[in-house]
Amino acid sequence: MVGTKRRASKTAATAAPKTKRPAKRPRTAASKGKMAKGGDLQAWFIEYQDLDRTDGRVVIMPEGFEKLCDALEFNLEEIEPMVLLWKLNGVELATIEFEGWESGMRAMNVKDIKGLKAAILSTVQEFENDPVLFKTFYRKVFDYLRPEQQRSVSAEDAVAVLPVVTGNSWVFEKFVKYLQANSDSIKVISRDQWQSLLELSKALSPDLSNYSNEDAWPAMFDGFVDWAKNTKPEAAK
Amino acid sequence: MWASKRPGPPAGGPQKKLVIKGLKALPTLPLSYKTDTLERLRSAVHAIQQNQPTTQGLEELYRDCEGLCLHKFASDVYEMLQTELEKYTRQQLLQIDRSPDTHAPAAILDQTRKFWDDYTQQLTMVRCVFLYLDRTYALQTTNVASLWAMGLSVVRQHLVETNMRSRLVRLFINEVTSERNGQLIDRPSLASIARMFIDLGLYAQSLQPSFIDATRDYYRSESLRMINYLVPIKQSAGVSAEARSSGPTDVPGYLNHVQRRLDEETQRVAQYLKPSTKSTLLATVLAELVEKHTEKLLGPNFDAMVDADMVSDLTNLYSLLLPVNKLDLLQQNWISYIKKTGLRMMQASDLEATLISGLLAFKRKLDNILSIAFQNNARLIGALREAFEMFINTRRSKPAQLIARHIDQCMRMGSKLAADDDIDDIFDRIIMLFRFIQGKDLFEAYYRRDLAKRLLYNKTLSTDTERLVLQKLKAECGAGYTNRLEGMLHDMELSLELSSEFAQKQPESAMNDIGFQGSVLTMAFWPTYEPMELVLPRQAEEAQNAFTELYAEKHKGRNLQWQHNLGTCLINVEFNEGSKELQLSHLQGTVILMFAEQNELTYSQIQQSTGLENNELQRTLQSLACGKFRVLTKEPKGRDVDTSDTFHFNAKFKCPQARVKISQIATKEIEKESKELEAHIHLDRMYRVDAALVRIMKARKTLEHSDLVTELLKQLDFNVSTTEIKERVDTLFERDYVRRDDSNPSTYHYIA
Repeated sequence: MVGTKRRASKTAATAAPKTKRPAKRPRTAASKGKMAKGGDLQAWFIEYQDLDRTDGRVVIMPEGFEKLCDALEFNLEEIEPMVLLWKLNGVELATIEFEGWESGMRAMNVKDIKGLKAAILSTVQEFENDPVLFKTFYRKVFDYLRPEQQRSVSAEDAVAVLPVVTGNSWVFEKFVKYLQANSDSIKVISRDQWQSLLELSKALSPDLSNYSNEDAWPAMFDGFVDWAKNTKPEAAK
Repeated sequence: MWASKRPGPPAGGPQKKLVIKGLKALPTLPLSYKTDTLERLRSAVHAIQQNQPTTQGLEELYRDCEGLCLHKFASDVYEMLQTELEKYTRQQLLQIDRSPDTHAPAAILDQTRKFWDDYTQQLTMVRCVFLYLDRTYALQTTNVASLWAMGLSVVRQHLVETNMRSRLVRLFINEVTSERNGQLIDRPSLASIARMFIDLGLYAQSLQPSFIDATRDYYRSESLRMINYLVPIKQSAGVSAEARSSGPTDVPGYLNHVQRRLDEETQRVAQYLKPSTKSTLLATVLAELVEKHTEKLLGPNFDAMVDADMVSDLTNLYSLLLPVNKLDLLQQNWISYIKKTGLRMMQASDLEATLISGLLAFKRKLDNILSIAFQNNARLIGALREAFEMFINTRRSKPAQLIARHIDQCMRMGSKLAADDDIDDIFDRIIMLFRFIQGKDLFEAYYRRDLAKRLLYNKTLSTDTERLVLQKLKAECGAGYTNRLEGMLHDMELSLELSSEFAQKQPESAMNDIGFQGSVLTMAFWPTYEPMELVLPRQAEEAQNAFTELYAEKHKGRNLQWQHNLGTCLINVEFNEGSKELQLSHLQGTVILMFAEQNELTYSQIQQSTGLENNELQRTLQSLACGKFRVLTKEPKGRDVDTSDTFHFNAKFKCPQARVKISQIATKEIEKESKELEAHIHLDRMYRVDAALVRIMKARKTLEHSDLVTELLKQLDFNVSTTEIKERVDTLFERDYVRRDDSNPSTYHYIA
């Protein structure tokens, strides 16, 4: 099935306008050996690439990305697509450029769908044991959520994405509820808040007793912990 | 017998020799010499002791003694004396001791005294008689005391052995106790006994310690009795309560009682005790009466005393607590009272009206107490300052606003200040309060606003007083602080000059209808004012333009921007009742003048003509048509002005005064203004926090959160909460001045 798709895209490719076709990689000595792979990756890329563009960008757009996730049997409501995006050095949400695609695939040493799926799944597994890895990923998610010109992420987006990315951590769950409860006063999440949230999730004790306003946490967390303390008895029910 | 027995030569014969031969036998003492002489001496001693003349003359007795001594019987004489003295003493004292206690105990003391007086006299006499013994045998023989010493030790010995000493001490103390209880006793007698003990060397070992112990017990029970029945102080007590140790009393009464006791004991020492006892005695009294019960004397009783301004009682208290080192406790109570009372004042519901005058009165009272009762004790003064700083700043911006307002009220015409009030003192006191507030920048903003109003609407009582206050503020906070304020005053001076120059230069005709005075305000000094569009009446505009020209000539390159919302005018208006002078703002004036030609105008007409915005126009029309002085009438009637309303000139306007001031600004405007001012200051402060944060981070490169906070608070002269600091740090993150450390989230790094 994959094969037929490939052939179909190839013909589509040849029918595409002559301008701004992705140039074939120059057959330099260095790349000779990898030519075959490069070709594969490229061909693979083209399967999902947005070919109706007029700005000449070589990218996979959300449509293509969704298609890829489908192929990988990833649920868009879960963490895998996000990890996929990250591993393929995506530039924005559901947007992957060829350079990123290529270097990401090489870094994972992946040639095909099966390999890609395995690599992504194993990365997700790795998050459990490697907090530093997760931190890097988590921080990148912020940039994906952030509209290009802005420095912060909308609270709405944070609410939608945080549960996906952080699963069963109670601090994140509570924080999301907090954002929802205060949706008219809290509109954005800054980078510092996003990043500090991860630290908070590791440091905060379940009874909220080890938090002090005098600490260096972002000012917004003071409000969050206060709110959490006041709503605790309900949560306990 | 001296005649020679040898036959002598016949008379008229050769010379005769006289030969003397020694005695054949030495003369011997008669056998009974010693006993006889001793006996003679003994009876002499008896005679002296019985106060009777001796059978021999004193000179003879002296020789007797001398003789015995020369014959080496000195020790016998000494022994005899000692024995006789002992016998006598024993006999006398036992006699005295025999009477039981209950039977006039004072009598025993008296008898002892008499014994002692007699005894010492006799001893002197004896010593005279036996002087030779004293000077030779007693002096030269070790272990043999002088006669006087021996005489004393005889008595001492007896007293100690027979326990009469303790009895005497006990009786002595009983007498003292009776006197303390208010009875009269025989003081000279006690004095003698005391002297006796002193001479016998028994004072320090037995009389004084027992006396002190008894004192301690006495005052311990007295104090317990009194303290347990202390009643609260009645506020109306102008006179301190009389205290007896039996009836219930309040703390001031108790304090008076303590002072009385102290005086009493001092007297007692002077009258019949050794002066060295005084310090221990007074210390004991103080310890029992005051030191042990200090908490009960302070606490709510202290508060009541300060409340009621009981200065003399507080003086008592201080002077009693000082020697027992309880001033620490006093200081604690002092601080807590000031804080409590101060906090209450800060939370009062009618804060705006009463706070400053209340605080001034409060401080005055406390200063008074400090100087009179507490002798300007430095630590208590410092404590007062600490307490004031603490409670004044619990209402963050109110004190600044209210102090500024208070000064404003003092400065205005018709203020409560009388001509002969000590202006300097009054403002000194206000400045003392000012000193305590944090965030003096807010005060300067309020002061500037109030000063502007005073100057522009000509409400200042006296420019000298203005300068006086500025001077004091400058002394307090430095020249930078009062820079703008002084600039404002200077501007007004210059403007006066300029205006009079302008008036002179105008041709007569132009100035007929309108007098014009302009004030030029240097923008940097004065509060910011929103510029406002207004189309002035023609004459006003002409005058204004002329003024602008004049100014431009004098100061090339400077621009004048007319602030219509600050201007005022006086307009003569003819009503049915007569001509009235209306004092109005420019806006009001412009509107009113429109009615000079026409009786009725619609809202839109007025708006078109004046060019005012809706907000301003509505406010202005409201003040003219819906307020206290209705020089216009509005249709339809009502408090609020709508864009569809019509206005008529109210010829029927009545008012007793000839000059009427119609105020433009409603109270809620003033409140709004205050809120804006505070918001502005707050913003200003946040910028300063940012600047300080950046400065600190730039210097230190890497810093822990808590250290940053500490540094910051040191550099700022106003208070800022940790939350606010964190918020400012957040903005620094956003602007890429600072970042968090990757591994330690409470460390910040400066981004160069």
